[in-house]
Amino acid sequence: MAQEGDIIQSIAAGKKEAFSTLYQMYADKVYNTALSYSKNVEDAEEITQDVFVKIFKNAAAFKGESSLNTWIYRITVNTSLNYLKKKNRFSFFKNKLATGESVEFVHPGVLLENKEKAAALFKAMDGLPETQKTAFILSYIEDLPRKEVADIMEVTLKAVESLLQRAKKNMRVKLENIHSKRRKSK
Amino acid sequence: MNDEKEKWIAEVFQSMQGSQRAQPGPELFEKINAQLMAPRPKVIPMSRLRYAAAAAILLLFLNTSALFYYNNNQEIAVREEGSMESYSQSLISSYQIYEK
Repeated sequence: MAQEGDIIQSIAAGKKEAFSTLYQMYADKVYNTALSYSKNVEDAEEITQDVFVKIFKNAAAFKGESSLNTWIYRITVNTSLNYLKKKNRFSFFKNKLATGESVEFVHPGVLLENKEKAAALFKAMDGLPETQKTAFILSYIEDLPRKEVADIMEVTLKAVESLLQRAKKNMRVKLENIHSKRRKSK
Repeated sequence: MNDEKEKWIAEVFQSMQGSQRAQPGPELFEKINAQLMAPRPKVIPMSRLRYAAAAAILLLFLNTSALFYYNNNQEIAVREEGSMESYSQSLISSYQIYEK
């Protein structure tokens, strides 16, 4: 924790080496989260870029009230959601590709035997309300403890549990449809 | 069949377990550094744009109204000039100084 504080203070002082260290520590987490929202490699890289620029510019504003991990995840979630909103707003023909909806997305880090199921999981996540999606991504894809998810989302632990329950219920309906389509096509 | 569906759904929810985190391209950090080094583009604040738009509208309004009043005055002047002329004409025609 003290080390994290030192890094962020050095970044606030404009030290590039500290920024490079922080990037090494958090680039994968930020990119992976951004990819879960955008389901598109280029968009995920752009979001990651935005997040690290924000971290560099706002390092002095980090007061240590939450952990650095929580702070960076919070910036990532907000940047991802805003990026997608903006992208959706400016997509002239409002095609579904803009939000990544209905695109068969295969997460690059998923085990080979799980690829098809993971694609179904991401498809079922489409159309979830923002808060449910965030709770699901942080809990099931980033594999964060519920307490940390609650801190990132600035809600109670109970609220996170409720969001996850609702997210799973909504996704289940979609998964049942995907399953029946899958059976028909076989 | 229902059991098979339930099993499949449960497996879908667990499908990200054991997966690795995706990694960004190696050139991304260079891009971020380049963005941080790049000079900031000058951004004109919206409030200033609003003031400029309001000033332009005000100028347009003043010019239009000035033109309108100028045209109106011209018309009145022409009308008045016309009536003065006919008045002097009648005065001259009825003056008859040298008539016997």
